[in-house]
Amino acid sequence: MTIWSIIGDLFSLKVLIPWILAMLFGLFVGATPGLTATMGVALLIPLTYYVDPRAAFAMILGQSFTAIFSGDIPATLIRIPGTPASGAAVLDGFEMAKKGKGALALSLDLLGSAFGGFFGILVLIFTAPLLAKFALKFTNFEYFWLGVFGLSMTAILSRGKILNGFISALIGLAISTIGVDITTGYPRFTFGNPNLIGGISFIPVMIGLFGLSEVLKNLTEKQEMSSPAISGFEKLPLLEAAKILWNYKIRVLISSLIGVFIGALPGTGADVAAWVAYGVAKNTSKNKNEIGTGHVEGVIAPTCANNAAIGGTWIPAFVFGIPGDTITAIVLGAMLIYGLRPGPNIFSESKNLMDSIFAIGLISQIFLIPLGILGIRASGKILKLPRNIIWAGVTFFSIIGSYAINNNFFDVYIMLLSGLLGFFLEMLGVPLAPLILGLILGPMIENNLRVGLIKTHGNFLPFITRPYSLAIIIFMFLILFGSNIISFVSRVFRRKNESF
Amino acid sequence: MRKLNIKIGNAIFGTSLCILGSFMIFYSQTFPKVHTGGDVLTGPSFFPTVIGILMIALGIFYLILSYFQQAKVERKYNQENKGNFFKSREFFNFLAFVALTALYPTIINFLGFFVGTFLFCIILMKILQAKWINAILSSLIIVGLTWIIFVKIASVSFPVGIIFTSK
Repeated sequence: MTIWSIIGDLFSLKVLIPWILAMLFGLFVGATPGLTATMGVALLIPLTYYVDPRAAFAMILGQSFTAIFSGDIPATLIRIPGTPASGAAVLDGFEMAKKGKGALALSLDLLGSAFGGFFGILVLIFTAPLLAKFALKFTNFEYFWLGVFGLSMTAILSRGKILNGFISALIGLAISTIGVDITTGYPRFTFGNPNLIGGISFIPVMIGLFGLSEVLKNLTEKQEMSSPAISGFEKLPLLEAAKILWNYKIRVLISSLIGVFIGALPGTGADVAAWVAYGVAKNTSKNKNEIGTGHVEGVIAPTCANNAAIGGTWIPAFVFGIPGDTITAIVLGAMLIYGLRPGPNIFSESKNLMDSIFAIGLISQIFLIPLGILGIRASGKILKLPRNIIWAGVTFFSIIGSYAINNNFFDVYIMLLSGLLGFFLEMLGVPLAPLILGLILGPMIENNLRVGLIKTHGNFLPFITRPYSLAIIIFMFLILFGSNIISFVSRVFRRKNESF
Repeated sequence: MRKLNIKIGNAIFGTSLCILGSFMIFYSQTFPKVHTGGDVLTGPSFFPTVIGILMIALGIFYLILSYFQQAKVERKYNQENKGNFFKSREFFNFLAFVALTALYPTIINFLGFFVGTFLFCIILMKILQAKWINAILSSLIIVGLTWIIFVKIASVSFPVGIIFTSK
């Protein structure tokens, strides 16, 4: 099949209509706190059984890309991440919105997401078998260090208050220990409450920490309730955003690369990718002091990474049948129905369908732009409502969003407690982002550390001596201290030159 | 009063960390030990114990550091805050908001999704100082939107309400 015949097939009505509808659905799912891209895929799967396999993949991929992008919309405008992958988008996106640059932040999100997604699919096309083999060389030792690497971003996310940042991360790690211990099955810190057996879901925590705490903060301020300034939503500054992306092309590429790589590691996903990309940007950028206060680079890094990670998650899924994240885990079960048998030979055995999937991934990025504009404009209209109504809506959808995850009011209490915790922590100058990082990475760090120690009979040395582990440690060291080392070395050289 | 509040805030936070850390260490000692062929393996208590130790250490460090940074923080805080927050209308709104949010599950369980949510939204909007007409109209829209998005599309089920099912 030629590329034109593949594209021709994809533009037939039986593929195009479900594809666009699923993308619109993704836009709505991602922008609604409590409905995640994973939930969206789970809802779509039963429908995909009745359509052409190409349409099925178009629906799943298209929905994932739009949902991950549109999660950035509430993250930017009302400080509530629409999906877990948008957690990092809250930081600079919301700060930009407060300065009246919400439309620019969202334009950057849209174009950055489209580029990240495009890049992720290109990597999937050209390097899938190679990357998958590399990812499979990672064992518990490397995953432990990868988790530690992610957590080390705390130092970067703490905005100069490293002690407070580490305390925040520790609170997140402590919360992550609640629930059944995966290795032994023993319930920890559940106090006989069945709601705690499955652990604390990080979505209500995230909604509470970022969303509800913002409402509480507004409630306690004497001046009239404030929310992001609304301007520029009628005509989005897409050209300006494209120019900015071009000016920061290295950051765009690095963040997309981080996204694909982390996405390709089984069990990680777009949320971890976004945080790591943000952390790397915050520590390696020339504008590192401005990132966190509403700088474009702080918006570009996570948004490129989270959509690029989607392409990455499909690499181990297709090549080895190992899910890269929860979405691919759901779809893997349905792959046989679509006529796909995951494995190293998938690219030759199902060449036509795989080519179509690649084309779907690339074309979805083009569709994402007009659909994203539609979503951003609709959000801009909602923001024109009176402030107290917006905050009431935020509160109510925070409650319902938390409830909807497990149909359980217990999650509403978790959200409320997280909101109060976030409010008080912010009052004390403790940053909230590391807490989420600790909560997300806690199980990954703990399980891999313990399984690794069990394998080595309590010997920690293999954690350091394995080549891949060592490579991650060196990389982490360079990211954390690289700029300090460079500035120290350059200072020494300058002094030497001056003395001569 | 302000100085006392700041000192108390930092002291409570640092002490809470130490207490939480100690609790994690001691409570996790009740978790079972894991043995395999004579080897004692890293069991479920291992990670919480490590976190507990770090929490105590950072808590103590926080207390010491905040004691030395006290003067700096107090100056900034005094400049930013005027009047007694705990006697203000804002504090009352804060408490009412938290109480109402905490009560929503009970309200909806008793009155059902439609009536409970409508009432909740109106009270919430009044706490947030919305006008009556705006509060009523917005509450109706929110109830309708929630029903379409969560009940019809996402198949989320909500309580029907004890008063409607007790017949």
